[in-house]
Amino acid sequence: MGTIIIGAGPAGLTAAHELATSGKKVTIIEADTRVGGISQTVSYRGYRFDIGGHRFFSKVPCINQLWREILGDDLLVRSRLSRIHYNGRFFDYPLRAANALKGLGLRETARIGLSYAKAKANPSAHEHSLEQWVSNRFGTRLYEIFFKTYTEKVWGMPCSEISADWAAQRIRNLSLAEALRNIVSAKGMSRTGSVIPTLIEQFLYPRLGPGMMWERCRDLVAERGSPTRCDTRATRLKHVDKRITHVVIEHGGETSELAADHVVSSMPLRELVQGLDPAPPEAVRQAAAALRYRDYFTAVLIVKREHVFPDNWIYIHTPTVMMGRIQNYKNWSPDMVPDPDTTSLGLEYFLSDSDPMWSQPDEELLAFALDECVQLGFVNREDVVDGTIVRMPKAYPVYDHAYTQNVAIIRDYLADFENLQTIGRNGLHRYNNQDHSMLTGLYAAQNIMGATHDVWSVNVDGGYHEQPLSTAGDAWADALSIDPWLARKLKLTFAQLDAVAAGMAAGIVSGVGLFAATAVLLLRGGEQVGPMLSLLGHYLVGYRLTWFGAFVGMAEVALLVFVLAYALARTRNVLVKGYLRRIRRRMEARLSREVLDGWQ
Amino acid sequence: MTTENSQGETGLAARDMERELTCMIAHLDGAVLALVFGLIAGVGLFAMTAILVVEAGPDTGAHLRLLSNYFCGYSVTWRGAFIGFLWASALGASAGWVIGYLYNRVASIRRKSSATGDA
Repeated sequence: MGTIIIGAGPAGLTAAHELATSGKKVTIIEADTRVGGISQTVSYRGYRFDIGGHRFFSKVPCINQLWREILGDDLLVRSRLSRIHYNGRFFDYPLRAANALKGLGLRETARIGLSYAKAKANPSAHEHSLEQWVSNRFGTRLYEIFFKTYTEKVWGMPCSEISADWAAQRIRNLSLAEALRNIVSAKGMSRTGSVIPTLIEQFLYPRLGPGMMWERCRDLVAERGSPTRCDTRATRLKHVDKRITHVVIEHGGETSELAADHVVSSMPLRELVQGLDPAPPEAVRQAAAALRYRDYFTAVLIVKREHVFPDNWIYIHTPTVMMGRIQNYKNWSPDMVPDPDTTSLGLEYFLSDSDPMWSQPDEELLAFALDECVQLGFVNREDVVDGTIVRMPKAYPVYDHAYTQNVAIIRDYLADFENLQTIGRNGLHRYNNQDHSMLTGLYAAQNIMGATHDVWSVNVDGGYHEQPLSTAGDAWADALSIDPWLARKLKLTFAQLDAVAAGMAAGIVSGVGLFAATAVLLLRGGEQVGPMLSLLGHYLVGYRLTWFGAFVGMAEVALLVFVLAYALARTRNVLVKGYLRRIRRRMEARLSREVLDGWQ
Repeated sequence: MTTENSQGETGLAARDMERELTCMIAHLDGAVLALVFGLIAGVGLFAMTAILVVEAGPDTGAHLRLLSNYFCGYSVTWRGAFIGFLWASALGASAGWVIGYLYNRVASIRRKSSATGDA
């Protein structure tokens, strides 16, 4: 008895690590022959490669700590370079105006500008689909060039059928508050001292790929008495009175049962529901069956060239090829290749396991990928000396229009199980990055030890897990979910001056000041009263060193200073507004990066 | 959370915050204004006096010494520089505090008027 963790990906192994560290008995079941899930690193003749690219960065302090604890000096700091390939040209990513103008030409740029203006003037009233969401922010033309082709390659369906939830979730971590926090606190650092990921051009990466992290984690957990059983599939979960009692596993054609106190599952929700014994109600089974996944394969080409391109990866927007992205693993870490005179490229193809291409022989897929790579001009055919194919089923949960409702039905049903928790990308059918998947595993493990985390809230409640919530009852801070410290700083920095009040205050003080100065001299008297002060008469019409002049001067100075202070306050307000707008627009421009980065 | 809701919340968050911030009226801290005005006035007069004392010509500070009409004990000497510093600091601080006070009062009245629809 003990805890059974289904899936040795980032979520499952993080849960296992947490439990094993606390002395709990854990058994980890992994259907694949390798650990790491989609974050595994595959090795082929000494060439190591990712299933996709996995930058290591997180706003969650405990996740950063875990990475560093497990990887130590093997966690490298790498520079990021990624570009977009579109119709034979490369575009900087994120997009830069001059580079885009040069690549697209004046006419296309003008079209983009016009469609952007149109989108701003007349945005779509509804934002149900990704198409509407992106078009509203970037204009239709930019959407067509830089979003539509690639997005549809990845998801295999029109953007009009992809839920806007996807884009919303991908950019949730990038908030104006965070960008502003960067201004009012130390540059590039959040208040807690952690680096703000969206503001950096570098990332952490294990020396031997992300799989290194999970192989080490597996070994650490094993040292603490909790082994990982690879190539072992959980086929059924037997339950009695809403409690999982046994997990039926299959290994090498043999079936056995493991008794369970707790079960933490990162297997796809669809398979989990189908594996429950007795079977759940028809509505739950239908909801599970309706969940869709996107699969993909990587064609790895070994190229006999020291340098091919400088990028970590390139997005292939060119519509004439099926390739979605190309990775240069050597640029992620030099240790990913055994021979520095060679380069390994990963050509990524997104498809469904029901597509005929999925089951084509590896040789045919390699030939197809090589053709496309040559067509795009990345390599010469004769430079490619070897290659392999790696398939990754259920890599991405699909956010179609029905998924929210289907997941809600399943979640409601599973909530009644007292000893079952689902975690990870597929366990929650949520597009979590590695760090958020790990956090779900961590929470699930802590729940077993008495905590009461809501695992489903990870990557939903904005920055809830990354920053403290407001506790000071500041309505404004509460409404915008920012902490009171930041709210105070923002108010101090960006609140507008009341120009009329500023003008009146400065005007009154100045007017009274001149009146007092004149009055003092008049009271002192003498032969020639205030010869210097009376020179103000050159500027203030009617001002004299007399009691009448004192009143005239007071009125005139008050008025003059009122106008000056009013103008200054208004100017300051306009500048602050402009600055704030600039920050927001820069942040929105970063959305393009966030939207594309979502597939990693 | 429905699709529409989650979209609305995310899409509007940045603009909401921008709007909130730009609608917010600043409150001036009278003490800070007093400190700033006082220091600028005090140090300013001290520096101006000190420069003239160092130059020390035959008719140095003919105009600046007129401040003695207002600042009792002030003269274009080292001693006067310190006395002037105290006077100017006090006057500047008073002016700063009054400006802050008046600004906050007027802004508060205008905000209340605006909230009740009077303005």
